[in-house]
Amino acid sequence: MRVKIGLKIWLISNIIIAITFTNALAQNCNNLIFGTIKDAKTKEILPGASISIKEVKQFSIVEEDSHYHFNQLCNGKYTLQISFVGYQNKDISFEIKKTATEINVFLTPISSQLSQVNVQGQVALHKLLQTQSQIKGKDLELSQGLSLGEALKAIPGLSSIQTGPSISKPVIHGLHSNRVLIYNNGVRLEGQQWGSEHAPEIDPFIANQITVVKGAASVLYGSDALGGVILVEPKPLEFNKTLKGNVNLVGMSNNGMGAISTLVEDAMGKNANFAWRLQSTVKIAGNSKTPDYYMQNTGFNEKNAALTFGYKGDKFNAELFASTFNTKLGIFTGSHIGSTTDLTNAINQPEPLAIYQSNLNYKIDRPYQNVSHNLVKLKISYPLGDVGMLHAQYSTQQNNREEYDVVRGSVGKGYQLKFDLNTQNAEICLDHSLLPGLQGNMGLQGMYQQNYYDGRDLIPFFTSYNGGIFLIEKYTKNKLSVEGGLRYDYKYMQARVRQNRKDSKSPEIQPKFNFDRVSVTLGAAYQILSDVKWSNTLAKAWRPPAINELFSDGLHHGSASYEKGDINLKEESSLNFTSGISKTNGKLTGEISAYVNHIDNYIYLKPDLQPVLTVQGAFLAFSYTQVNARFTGVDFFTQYQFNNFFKTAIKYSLVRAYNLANNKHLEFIPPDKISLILQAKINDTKKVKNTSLDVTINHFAKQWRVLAAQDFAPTPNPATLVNVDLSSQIFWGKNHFNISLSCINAFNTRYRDYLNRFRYYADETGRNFILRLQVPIGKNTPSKI
Amino acid sequence: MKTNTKLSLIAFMAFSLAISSCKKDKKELPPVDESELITTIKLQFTNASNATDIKTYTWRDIDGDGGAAPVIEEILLAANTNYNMEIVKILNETTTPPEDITEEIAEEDYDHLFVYKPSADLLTLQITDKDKNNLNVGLMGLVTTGAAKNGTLQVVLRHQPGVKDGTEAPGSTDFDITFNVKVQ
Repeated sequence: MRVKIGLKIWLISNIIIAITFTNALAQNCNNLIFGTIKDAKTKEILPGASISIKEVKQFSIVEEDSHYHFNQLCNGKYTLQISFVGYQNKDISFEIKKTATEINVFLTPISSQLSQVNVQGQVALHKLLQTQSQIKGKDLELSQGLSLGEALKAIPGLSSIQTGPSISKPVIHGLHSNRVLIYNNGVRLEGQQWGSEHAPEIDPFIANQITVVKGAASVLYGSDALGGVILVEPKPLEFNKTLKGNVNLVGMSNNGMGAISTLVEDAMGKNANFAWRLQSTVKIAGNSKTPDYYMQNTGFNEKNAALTFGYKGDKFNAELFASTFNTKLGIFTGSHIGSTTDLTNAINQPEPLAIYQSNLNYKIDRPYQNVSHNLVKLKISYPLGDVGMLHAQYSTQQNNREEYDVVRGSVGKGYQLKFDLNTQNAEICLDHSLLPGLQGNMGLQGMYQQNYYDGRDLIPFFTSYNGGIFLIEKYTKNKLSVEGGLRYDYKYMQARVRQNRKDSKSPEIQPKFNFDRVSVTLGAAYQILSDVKWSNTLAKAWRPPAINELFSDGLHHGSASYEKGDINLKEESSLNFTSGISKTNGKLTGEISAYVNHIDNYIYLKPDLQPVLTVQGAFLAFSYTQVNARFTGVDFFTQYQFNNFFKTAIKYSLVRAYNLANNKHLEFIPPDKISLILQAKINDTKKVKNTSLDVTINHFAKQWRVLAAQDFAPTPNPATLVNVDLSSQIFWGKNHFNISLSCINAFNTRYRDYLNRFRYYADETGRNFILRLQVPIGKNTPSKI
Repeated sequence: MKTNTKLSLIAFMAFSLAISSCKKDKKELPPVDESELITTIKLQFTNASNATDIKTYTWRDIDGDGGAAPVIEEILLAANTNYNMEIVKILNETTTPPEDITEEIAEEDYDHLFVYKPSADLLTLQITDKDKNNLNVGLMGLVTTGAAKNGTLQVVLRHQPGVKDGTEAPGSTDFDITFNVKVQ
């Protein structure tokens, strides 16, 4: 569980290790190459160019200062390949003989041969100046088998809210659910994000890299992105005729989880114009165990597959992507309560009743959820001469959710609640570079959505239409980059609901809603030193109230509360300012950023003074209400590389969130977290390479800012947890195997997590050994390290 | 500018409309599903020494959770008297005709437990019916009142599928209601 933040250096060093392997050179491997990439005529720097080393087929996007850097290179001959929109590709052959080599690259603008441009990175080429963090390479590999929410927790500023051990969703700077957008291979994931117990419908195994944009990023990604954006990005298709792939095996001791994920890819056609990739994942997990007991009915299983088909031609490129995600999630039986008394009893017990303490088994009973998500995307990219690249994309997704509750006479009964959400997205955008140093993106996006339900009436039928238009430009001159963007979104929604929702004979009404707002982003980054950058972003974002906030009316059994929506809610809008300094080279690297996110009309559940008396007793009542709120926080990361064998890193994040109406701290905001990471590497041998031992110590503070009256139970005590990862690469003939053994919560510490909705009922999971093995198929270069 | 923006948006949305809404949204709203709802509980007290002295008291929340508050009748009992108590009706009156849940609970009595909590020194209640595992059910009981006093009687139905052990703790609450009681 180690991650990194925005710091390319370590990733690059990982790539370098890949180079080390492919060249199988065991001699001097501590060499450095570096330089900048500039326009051959104007000598202006070219941020966003991609640079790769041909011998290992690895590439990376160059930072805003246009500086690139590879270290720990072995002596030998290499070829640098550089590409950038609007410029001719360039190959530079060189030989490393000394410890430090400077290679400055000058690219020549092209007039009409844009078809030569390498458009491998089919993701939006525009990279925001805003703070971004990535998980890829070894860090991503060491998160395999975990859910998306869990995997991202290692990034400062990120946490996850959980509903028991099987359901987890990401939180960015204290914001989550409807305020965080997730993009699955370039498609805005539209799932039923109507509650904290609805996990994102995505298989993290498809990702080659996960990028997190922290803070409001609506201009480029659409309304709702008040907290940030998570981009789950598969590797670009490779158009070379080699059948290859890998099999990833993951086993966990705590819940007996077994996962197998397979990836196979190849190219076809006379000129290898066609490429395809098939990826599939199967996961089966049993009951999770706290240090003292198993939690009954917390198993889950998952069956996912994704097929990508690509065409790369002289005139245009196309990609067809289809994926299916299917899961069955057990919900801890001890969390099923019917009244406030049940909740109080559960809170007062030090541990769940013995009957809810189980053994390791894979049986899933009521309550459980069946969730499936299917996606088809077609994207066409068309070069437009000097102007840039035109992208058109259409996608359709279907999300189906069935919830099975504990009911009387459940034998033979089906689900109690079913949602069927269908979404279609169409977008057209132009990645362009109209003048040297100026780079931008503009486009139109539209979305059509329809939801049906069956069973319990929680979320009504609705149909909605969204439309958005945006323009964003970034201008770079020497050490300064400035960015400006503007977007307008409009949303129309019509619900269908009975006037009296508890009476079948009540007439149908069709409330209509119109929302529209403008989003803005302004950014500036200044290169103080060659490796020190100061960046600032001011962004205005908004989101329309979500359907559950407008229409909820009923008991929420998980929290023993009665929730009431309000159809008069207005748009939520935020003004977000982030300022950060990062240092990317040398022994000492790091990043610190601070932010203020002021949200007008922040929607939250306000406790009502009068409880609601029901047949199951009195319930605390909550109404969706709007107040002004302010989120402030700091994310910090620093790393010191003592030598080639030892390094240490510290991460820290804090969030403060206040309701400005009464100056009370908001509920469900992550407590402060600090992590200390120690890494030791050992010398490579001929068969065993890149062996490293990582020890991570995470400390969570107590969220004492939330008053006792704001919660059913006191907030949990602080906890210190230790994770250990041992990873290595084994070379066997021409193949290599990546292998790792991790131990999460090594000291089997008993604790409860403030952001877990089930902390009222049970402890967090205890010690968990995770064994991972990556076996190559066909002819491979080490794709991930 | 804004008009232009709106126009282009409308054009774009018309495009998405064209590709998406070929089928008209004619789907009917599903019927109101309140199958788990209990609106009405009727308790009957029969004087043990006078079979014609029968009294029934009702707890009723006709519109279910939320909305109007429940209507709860006050239980009136004679002091120092034995009564045979029975839960005669458990209904969901939001449906027509009302759904009788009493029988369903009686059939699954091995998954259910009624728990009675009278206020101090008011009365005692001894459960007299057992399930197939010889554990208390609580659809029937023997009530012995004390001296004249005002108090409350709380009645809780615990749903304990597969986990019933005779105690209140396992499972979840199906209903949890409280009557005012006058012993006179």
